Amino acid sequence: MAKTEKKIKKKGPIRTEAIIPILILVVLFGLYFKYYFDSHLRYGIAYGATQAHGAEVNIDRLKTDFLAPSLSIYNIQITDKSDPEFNIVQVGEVRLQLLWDALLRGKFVIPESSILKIQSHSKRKRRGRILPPPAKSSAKGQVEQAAETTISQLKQKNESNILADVFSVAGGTDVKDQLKKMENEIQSQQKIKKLGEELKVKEKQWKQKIDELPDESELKQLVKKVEGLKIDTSNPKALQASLKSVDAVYKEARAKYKTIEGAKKSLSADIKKYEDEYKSLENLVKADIQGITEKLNIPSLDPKEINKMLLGNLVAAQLGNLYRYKQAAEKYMPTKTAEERKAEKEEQALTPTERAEGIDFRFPKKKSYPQFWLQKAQISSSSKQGQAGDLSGTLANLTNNPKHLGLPATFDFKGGFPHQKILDVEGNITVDHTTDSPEEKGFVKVGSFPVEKNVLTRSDDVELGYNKANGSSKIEFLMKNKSLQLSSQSLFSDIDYYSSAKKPKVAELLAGVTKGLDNLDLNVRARGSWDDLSLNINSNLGQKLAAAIKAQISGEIAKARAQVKNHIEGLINGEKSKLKGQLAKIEQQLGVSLQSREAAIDSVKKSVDEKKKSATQKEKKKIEKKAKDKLKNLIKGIKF
Amino acid sequence: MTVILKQIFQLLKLLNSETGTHQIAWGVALGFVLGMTPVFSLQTVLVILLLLFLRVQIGAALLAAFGFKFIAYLLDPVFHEVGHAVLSNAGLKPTFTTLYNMPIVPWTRFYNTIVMGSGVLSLALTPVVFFASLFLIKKYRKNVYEKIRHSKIMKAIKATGFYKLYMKYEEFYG
Repeated sequence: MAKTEKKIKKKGPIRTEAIIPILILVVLFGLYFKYYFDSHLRYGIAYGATQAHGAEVNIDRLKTDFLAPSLSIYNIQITDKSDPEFNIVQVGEVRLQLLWDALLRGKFVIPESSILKIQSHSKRKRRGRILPPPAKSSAKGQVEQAAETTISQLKQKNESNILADVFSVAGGTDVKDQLKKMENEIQSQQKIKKLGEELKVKEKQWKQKIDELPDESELKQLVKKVEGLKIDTSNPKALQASLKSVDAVYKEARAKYKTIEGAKKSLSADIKKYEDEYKSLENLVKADIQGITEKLNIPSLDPKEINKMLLGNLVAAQLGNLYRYKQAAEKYMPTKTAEERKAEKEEQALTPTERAEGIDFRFPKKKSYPQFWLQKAQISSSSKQGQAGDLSGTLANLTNNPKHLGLPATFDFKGGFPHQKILDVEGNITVDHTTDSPEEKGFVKVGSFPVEKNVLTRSDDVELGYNKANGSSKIEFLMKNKSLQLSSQSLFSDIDYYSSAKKPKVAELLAGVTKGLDNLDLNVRARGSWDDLSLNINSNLGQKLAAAIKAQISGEIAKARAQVKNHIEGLINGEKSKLKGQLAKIEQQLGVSLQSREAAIDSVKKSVDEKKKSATQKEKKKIEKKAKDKLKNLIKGIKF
Repeated sequence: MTVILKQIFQLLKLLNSETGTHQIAWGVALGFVLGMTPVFSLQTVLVILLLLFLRVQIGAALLAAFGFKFIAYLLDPVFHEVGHAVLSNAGLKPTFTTLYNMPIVPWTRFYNTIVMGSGVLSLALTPVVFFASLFLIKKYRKNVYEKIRHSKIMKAIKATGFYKLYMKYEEFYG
C-alpha cells in the first residue's frame, strides 16, 4: 500500500487570500466613485441648496477629480422665489480647485476658482418648486424682531390706501352723523369730566382741612397774650423768667405757623397738579382730533405719507433683501465670541486643556486653515456665450471662520446682462466679520433695468400703477452691529402708467398727474438701529400727487378736518372753561382763607419779636450803666 | 454573559486548534496594541490593516483587544503620566510641533496624553507580550491541553450524543 503524503505548502507572512477580496472592494469603490459618486454628490448639493434657498436649485452635471482635487459644476439654476417661472441666477459653470495640503487636514481650501456664463432672470424650462416657509422660531433675536417690525410697518403703510380715502372725501362726505356716534371715544371730554369730579371732592377735603387750622380769633388772642406779658428787668433771674414766658408763647405760635405753612404748601402742590392736568388737555384734544380724523379716513396731504403709502412696498423689499443677506452672512460667516477667541489664544500659548480622558496638548500652529476657505473666485461671463451676461468680478476670502482667517470677504463685479436688458451693473460688497463688531458695507449700482408691472395703490374706487418702466438704481449701505445706514437713489423712466377710478373727477386727476410725470424718482435714506429706524422716503410722485390733490380737493379735505375739529372743540371748550373756573374759584377761596391766617400768625410773630427785643434792649442798657459806674469808681480809687 | 462565554470558548478553540503558535502570539500582540489605544484613530486603522494583510490570528487579536481594553481602563492614569512626560519634554517639542503642523499626522491624536502614553507603552511592551504569549501557548498545549484531553471527564463528554452533534456541526460549519 503506497503511502501518499500530503505535502503542506508553507504559507508566507502575507495573507494573500485577503488581497483579492480587498482588491475587489477597492475596485468596487473605484467604480462607485467613477460612475455614481458624481451623480450622488450632485443630487446632495442640489437638495441641500434647495433647502437652504427655499426654492428649487438644479444642477445639470457635476464632475470630480481625486488626483488633482477639483470639482466642476455645470448649469446651476436657482429659482426665483417670487417668480418661479424664472431663475434669479443661472451659472453655466463653476470650477473649484481644491488644495491637497488642506484636504489632508480635513479642510476645504479653494485657492483659485472660476464662475462662468452667468445669466440673470433667465426663463426656466419648467416652473421651479417653492418650499413651504419654515416654521418661525418663537425665540427670535431682538434685532430680528425689530427688523421685521420695521419692514412690516412699511408694508402696512402701503396697504393703508390713503389715496382711496382722499378720493372718497373728494366726493363730498358729511361726517356729522359719524361724529355723534363717536362722541364716547373722545378722550379729552372724559378727562375733563373726571377732573371736574375730582376737583369737587378735593374742594370739600380742603375746606375741611382749612376749618381744622387755627382760626384768626385764636391767633389774635395769642397777640393779646404777648402784649399783656410784663417783662421784669429788676434782676437777671426775673428777666430770664419773663423771657421764658415770651418763648412759650412764641413756641405755641410757631407750631400753629407750621401747620398753616404745611397746609399752604400742600394746597399749592394740588393746585399746580390740576393746572398741569389742564394744560395737558390741549394735547389730548389734539390727539382726539387726529384720532377721530383717522377713524373717519380723512387723509392728510403730506407728500411724505403719500410716498410711504405708494412706494413703501418697494422700500420694504429693498430693506428685506438687505436684511436677509445680512442674516445669511451672519449664519455662514459667524463672528466668534470672546470666549471662543480666548480658547484660541490658549491654543497658541501651549496651555493644556482638561479633557474627559487625558489632556490635549496644543502646539503652536504654523499653518492652519479654516474649515472652508474660498481664496479667490474669478467671475467671468460673456454675452457671446448664448444668453449669458457680460460680467467680470472677484469673490475673495469667503470662509466659515472669518476671525481665524483675519480677512474680510469681498465681492466686486462689473458688467451687465444685455439679453435681459440689465445694463451697467457694478458693485462692491465687503463682509467684515473679523472683529467683534461685524460690519457689512458696499454699494450696488444698476444703470438700467426693466421694471415689470407694479401696483402702487388699489382699492374698490381707485387703482394706480404702471405696466412697465425702465429703472436705474444705486444703493449704498453700511450695517454695523445693530445699526443700518442706507441710501438709495432710483429713477424710473419711460413709465407706462395705468389708472382707473369710479369717479370721473378722480380719474381725470390721476391721468393729469401721471401725464406730467415722465420720470419718477425714489430716494430713500435710512439711519439708526433696526428697532428705531429713521426712514426718509422722497419721491416726486408723492409731491406731485399731493400738489394735484391739493389743487383740486384740498377744500373738501380741509372742510372735513375742520368739521371734526369744530365738533370736538365744541364739545370740549365749554367743559374746559368750566373746569378752569372751578380751579380758579378754589384757588381764590382757599387761598384767601389761608392768607388771612398767615397774616395773623405773622402779627403774633412780630409782637413776640418786639417784646423780646425791647426786654433785651432794656437789660443791655442796664448792664452798660452798671459797667460805666464800676469803671468810674475804679478810676477814683486809683491814686497817682 | 453569553457573549463573554462565547469569547472564552473561541479562545479555547483557538488554543486547541492546530493554528500556528506564532500567528496566535502575533494576534495577541496586535490585539494588545488595539486594546490599549483609547480612541478610534489613525493608528487603529493601521493595526486593523496589519491584521488583514499579515497572517496573524484575527480571532486572537479581537479577543486580546477585548481583554486588554479592561486592563487599559485601569492603566489610564499610568498612560496619562507617561504621555504627559513625553509631550512636555522640551527636547521633543520641535518634533511634536512639526508633527502637529503636518497633514494627516494630527488624526492620530498623538497630542493627547493618554493616546501618547498608551502608544509608547504598548509599542514598548508589544515584543514582551508577543514572547510571553508564545511561551504561555506552548506551556498550555504541552501541559494543560494534553491533561484535559486525556482526562476521564473529557472522554465521558466525547462519548455523549451532544458532543457528536457538536462535532458534526463543526465539520459542516467550522
